[in-house]
Amino acid sequence: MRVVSIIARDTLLELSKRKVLLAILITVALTAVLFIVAVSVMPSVVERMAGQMIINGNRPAPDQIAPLVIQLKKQGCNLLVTIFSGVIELLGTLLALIMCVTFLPAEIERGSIKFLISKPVSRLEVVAGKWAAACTVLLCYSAVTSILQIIASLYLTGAIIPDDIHAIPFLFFKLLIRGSVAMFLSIAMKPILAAVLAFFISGDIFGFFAGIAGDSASGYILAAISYLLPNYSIFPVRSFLNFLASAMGAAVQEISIFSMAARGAYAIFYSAVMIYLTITWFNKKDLT
Amino acid sequence: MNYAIETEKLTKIYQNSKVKAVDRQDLKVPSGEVFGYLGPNGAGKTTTIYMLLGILKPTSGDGKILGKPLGSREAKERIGFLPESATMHLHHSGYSLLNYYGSLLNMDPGKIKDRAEQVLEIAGLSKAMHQNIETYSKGMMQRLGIAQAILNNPDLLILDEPTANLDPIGRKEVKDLLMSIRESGKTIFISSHILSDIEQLCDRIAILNEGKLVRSGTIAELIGDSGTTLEDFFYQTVKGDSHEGS
Repeated sequence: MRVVSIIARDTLLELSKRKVLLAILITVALTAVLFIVAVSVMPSVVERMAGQMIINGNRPAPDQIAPLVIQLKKQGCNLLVTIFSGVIELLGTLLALIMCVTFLPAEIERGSIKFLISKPVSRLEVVAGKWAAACTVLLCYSAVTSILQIIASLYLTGAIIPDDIHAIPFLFFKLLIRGSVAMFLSIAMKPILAAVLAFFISGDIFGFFAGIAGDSASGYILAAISYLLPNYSIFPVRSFLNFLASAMGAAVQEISIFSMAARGAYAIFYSAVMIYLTITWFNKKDLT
Repeated sequence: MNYAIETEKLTKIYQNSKVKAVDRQDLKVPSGEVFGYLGPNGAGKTTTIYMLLGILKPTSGDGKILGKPLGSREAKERIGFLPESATMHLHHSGYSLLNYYGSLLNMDPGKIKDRAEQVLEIAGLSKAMHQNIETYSKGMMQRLGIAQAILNNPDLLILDEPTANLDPIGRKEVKDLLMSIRESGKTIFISSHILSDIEQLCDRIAILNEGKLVRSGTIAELIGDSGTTLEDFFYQTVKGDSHEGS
């Protein structure tokens, strides 16, 4: 563990010096600024639109419009928070992919791995150290951006929907799986290809068809495939469906503690298998 | 005789190219000597070194380094290694890099700083120790490579082309540094094709050609009173072996 933590700390130092984290933070900050501008402009847009509304050929009276404006503002804010959360997730995914597809290939390509391996350091410790650094960054990213989202949601809509509460662990779990898949693929192929594949490989579509197939043999097979491939659909972060549900006044589906734990266990198990495969493959690889 | 490095039928075939880079090599490096490992480009010198350290996995055969299995943690704690033209972790200064490597070597944290300053002084990098290593010249980088290799005061020093890429002044400084390490009785294993350096530094040499060990012994044993130079002897050995092979 001592060597793993030394390598993890050095990797974090390298990330901070290479300004990767700074670039992501600046992008998040710019997104937040755009978001604030959109939010500040939105009420006047809604009011202007409501003022021009014509119902049955007549302009409605202001007291008729007022509740509608409040409703529209609320849903508009909700939509903005949903878009903001989508951007945050996309940036987090990019961060996970950039880090995890470059950590090991960069060490091999520049030759610095030779200095590491010639010290009393095992290949397992190199992979574990890099992975520990990636997990630290992704956890911090998930926590900071999700707290931002909760504050935004609370400030704008006056309420927190369950998705916001789940955001921290769910965003982290998604990024954890995505990063582990990317790191595994980076051992076998060019980093850019590994990143593209890690971005697109997903069992979500199989889960969707499994839902349609229902309780049948093909349904079970499709469901199994959806979990064998990384299944991100079980980690809804401000899902669009939930947004629509809350916009239409329907009850948003809550997730029990047991279900949360099961989903977390899936993410941890899946990423652990991926990292185990990475170590196994890395152990056999010629590091030149 | 006590051996720092012993290999038995060590073989490496690269999976992608199917090239047999090292072919059933039986290498014995006595402890406390300076051993020159010679061969033309592509002879398999670097491949052998990487197998000794666990950077490459042998296809077959085995060996021991300081009495321990190849690439083992116990052995690597007592080895210093300078690879050929590899880039170190560039986000460090010379001083912080040595602190990082020192902690990986499980050195006493209190002693790392003193030792880092000491080896940087030996390598002539004291003035540039807090400078980012991205700004170092090739010669400075090579000297930093040697500094990190001797950081843990190793029993066995493995150097792959230590004087390559250096100007005459840099080469002289590195040779003087190796001479001083040699005085301390450490085993030094040098891979090089700069024969004049090898002649000055080494007690014993081995010549490798097309992955096979073709000659091994002390320089006196190999050249004897024949009046030939090491350069001539090396040329004749490699050419003769290549003709026999073809």
